[in-house]
Amino acid sequence: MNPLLQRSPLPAVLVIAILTLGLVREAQPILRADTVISPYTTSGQDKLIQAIKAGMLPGLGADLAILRIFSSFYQYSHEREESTRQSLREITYRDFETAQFLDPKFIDMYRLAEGILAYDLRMPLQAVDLLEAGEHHFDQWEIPFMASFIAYDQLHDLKRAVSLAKLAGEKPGVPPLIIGYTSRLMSDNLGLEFAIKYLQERKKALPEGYQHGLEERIRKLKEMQNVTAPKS
Amino acid sequence: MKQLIYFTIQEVLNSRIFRLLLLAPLVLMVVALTFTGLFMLDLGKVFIDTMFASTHLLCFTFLMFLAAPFLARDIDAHFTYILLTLPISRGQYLLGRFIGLCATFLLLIIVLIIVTSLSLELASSIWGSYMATADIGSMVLGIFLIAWQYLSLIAIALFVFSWATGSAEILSFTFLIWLLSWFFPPVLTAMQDSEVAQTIPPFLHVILESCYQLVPHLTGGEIANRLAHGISLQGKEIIYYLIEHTAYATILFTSALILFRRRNL
Amino acid sequence: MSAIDIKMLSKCYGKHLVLDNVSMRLEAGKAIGILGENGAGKSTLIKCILKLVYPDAGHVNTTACREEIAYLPEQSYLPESVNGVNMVRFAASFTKTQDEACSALDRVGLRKEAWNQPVRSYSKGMRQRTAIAMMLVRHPRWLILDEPMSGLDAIGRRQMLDLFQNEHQQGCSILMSSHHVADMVRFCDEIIILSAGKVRESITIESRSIDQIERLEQKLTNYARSTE
Repeated sequence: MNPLLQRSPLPAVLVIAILTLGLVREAQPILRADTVISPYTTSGQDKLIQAIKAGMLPGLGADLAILRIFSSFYQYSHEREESTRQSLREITYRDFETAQFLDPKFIDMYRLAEGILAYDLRMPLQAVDLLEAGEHHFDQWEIPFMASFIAYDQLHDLKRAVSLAKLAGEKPGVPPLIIGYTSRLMSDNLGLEFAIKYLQERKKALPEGYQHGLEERIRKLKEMQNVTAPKS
Repeated sequence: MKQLIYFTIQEVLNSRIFRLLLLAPLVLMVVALTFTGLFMLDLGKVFIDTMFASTHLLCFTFLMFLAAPFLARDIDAHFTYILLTLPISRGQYLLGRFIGLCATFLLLIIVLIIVTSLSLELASSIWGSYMATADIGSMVLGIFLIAWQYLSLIAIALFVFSWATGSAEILSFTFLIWLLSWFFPPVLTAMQDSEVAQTIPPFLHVILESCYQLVPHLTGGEIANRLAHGISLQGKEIIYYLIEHTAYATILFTSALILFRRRNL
Repeated sequence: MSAIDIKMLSKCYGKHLVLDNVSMRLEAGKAIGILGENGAGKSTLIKCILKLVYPDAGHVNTTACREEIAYLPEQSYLPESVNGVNMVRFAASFTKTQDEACSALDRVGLRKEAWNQPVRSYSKGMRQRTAIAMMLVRHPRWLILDEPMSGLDAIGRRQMLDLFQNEHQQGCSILMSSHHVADMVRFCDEIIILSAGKVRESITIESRSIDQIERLEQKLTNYARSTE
């Protein structure tokens, strides 16, 4: 028998396996995390600890964070002592951040942020930050819209409200009501001309059946523009 | 070697712990449905998260309470003396044990897939549109990919077995390697975030970045997250993932064969 | 006829020399005993013959192939979840004699009620019998037994010896290690005394009398004392 064939094939198998691994590594593109606007008040170290704790189940880690939010909020609702309520607010907010870091596409977290974080825990700025950081993961208009509304209603930050409303307006399936809301914000903040231009752009993206409302709104804004323009 | 494979399968099927593991998916299904009911909107995602967690739990239990002790007993109780004096070589012995263990492991996974598919149907009938993001195909794919990772961990247990002197070493080292495979990839992925990277000292950053090149970029965590949200994995990603883990298993198994051939028993 | 040739075998475990230039020829067709005190190197010698352990020097040549050799270790662990008859069928599958599993269990004297019970319910003696049945069902040419009588009572030892005697009379070669002098004298044709890793003496058994037993015990004691 050929002496070469008599040798053990194991080293060859080992070499082939290592080469295969090397070739696959070369062929694969390197995945990088999205650069997301980070609202975190927690440090990078905290995020690392959260990643370690969640291990191979970041989704479950986010789910457990939501359950902790329910639990903390329940305690907060029944607590009278202000210092304890403050601690519970902070704990709850950290759980929101944990949930977003581990699973930024978890919609329940944003629903809770819109409601309890903004209004019950009285942390509207943090709520808007959270919603703004996560809105690009979804095709839903509700998230940027609610962020815009909270920014307008609670923070009285018109500029931020407008930019968030514009984001909402660009989402697919956005109803005319939202576009109308956006244009009102714009006319108050950026002027009538800007609001008219915005509505004309949005009209193009809507089906014909939805355009009537926008056309009506554009007409009214133009009338207002004529009224406020200096007479030559 | 065929005889040893059948014998190994028989041995595992008759063991009490394996029979318990076969019943475990039913319990896990109840837990998953209960857990899912606590949430508001994205119930499909939560349900799939719990199914993947159940898969990890079942696979870990198989690895640490069945596969590793099973191999450890061969050494501790000198069953290798009887097996290796039968007309099979050391290589055939290792391969026979490995294939037997993998066959029973895959049987467990098939049972898990059947039970989880039925429970997904039940959950969809209860919660309707809230389960929109959960589909059977994604769930089965996720379970299969997680299980594939554990096949390479069984090869690791075999590698440890090839040089370890007893059950303490086999169990400790296998657990340690599982621990590394559980925590290390998420750390490496988190390190790609700029805020996290800033907290790591530069020299450690270089080492970790090099390690990042060695481990599969598609980690179990990313698989779980993407599939839970109904985001499909690319065919290329899946193939690379399978090839990588198969390559790890092959490297470890071949190393185990080389070591075991010259080992004094 | 196959024989086992051992030449200048040496083995160390760390700094401890277990076998020291051991040479012997084990002729086929005989019942050969290896007698020695605890720690003499009997088990290591047997493991070197079976290639479970690799010697540091020397070699073992045998014309017997693996199918012809059956081994009974000192402590026979059997997987507890499998039943007796399946254990024997597994061993028999290598020589395609699965049909003889039940008759092998019958020959070794295992109760019929126990055949389909899992091994976890067996006593030590029953496990030993099952392990012997696993050997015998393959019809080996060589039986290598490492302390086969350890842990058995007098009746059990007698039954074991009768079983092996029966096999030997049917042409099976036997290599047995033990430190029970009386059993060895009653059973073996030739006894090799191993002490502190060295072959001290090779004795052909001509008489199975009590005197022979006492002489051998004295020799064993003297060799053991001389190495202390």
